[in-house]
Amino acid sequence: MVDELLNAWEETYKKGQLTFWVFLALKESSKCVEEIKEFVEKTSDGAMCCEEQSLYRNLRKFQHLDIVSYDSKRVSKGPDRKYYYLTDMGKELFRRFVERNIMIFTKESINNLLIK
Amino acid sequence: MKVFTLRFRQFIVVALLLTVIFRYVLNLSIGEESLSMVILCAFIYFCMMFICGWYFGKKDATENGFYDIGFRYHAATYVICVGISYVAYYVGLNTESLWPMTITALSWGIGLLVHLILFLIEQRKTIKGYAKDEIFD
Repeated sequence: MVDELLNAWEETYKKGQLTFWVFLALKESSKCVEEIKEFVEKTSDGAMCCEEQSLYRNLRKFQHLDIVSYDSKRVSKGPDRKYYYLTDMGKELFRRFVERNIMIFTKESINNLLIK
Repeated sequence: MKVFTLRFRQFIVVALLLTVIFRYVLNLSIGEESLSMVILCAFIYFCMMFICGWYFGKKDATENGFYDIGFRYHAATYVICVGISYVAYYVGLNTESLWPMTITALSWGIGLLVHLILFLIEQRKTIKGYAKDEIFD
């Protein structure tokens, strides 16, 4: 029962989380889609996984919204690879989101409750 | 919002082609005074246009995610259908007469205007053409 409830909760919780992890990946450094996927899966200890197709779709959307941009880089084989990075607006957006929604978990009172 | 996406441009090309073919077949059917042919080709044209809009519109939505409640596709269909019917009339092809053509254009135009108003209202729920509640899905 608890496992089932946990899965249901996680399914809802993870919706909308992908953006956070993608932005975190791009905050570290500019990355291509494969690297973003690897970062997200590795850094979240496998809790988050994403399809490359859905990453491409989201990145294209963020690009139209001027949150993300890219540089094309030559690779030895195949077509140029796109390396995505956060624009100034993207950085500002991420900073304010983290400030309002993530940093609250670093408060001592909440942290104490979490590890209690 | 990027209006002329790849799928939308493809739709315009296919819709233009279908409409030109339809007008040509209609011209022949009216010339032969075959009512059944007129009805059949109009029905096939309607179905093909519907499938074409459905196919490219769905692909467009999946690839780009713009929230435009189908207005771009409706407007393009209107311009193509009405525009080509007038062109066909004035170049001397067999078509419906001018009055029913104008009535159709006006009544459809009112429908398109209502669609435009709904589109503009819905645009308030978007940022650069993306539905606000779907941007960070």
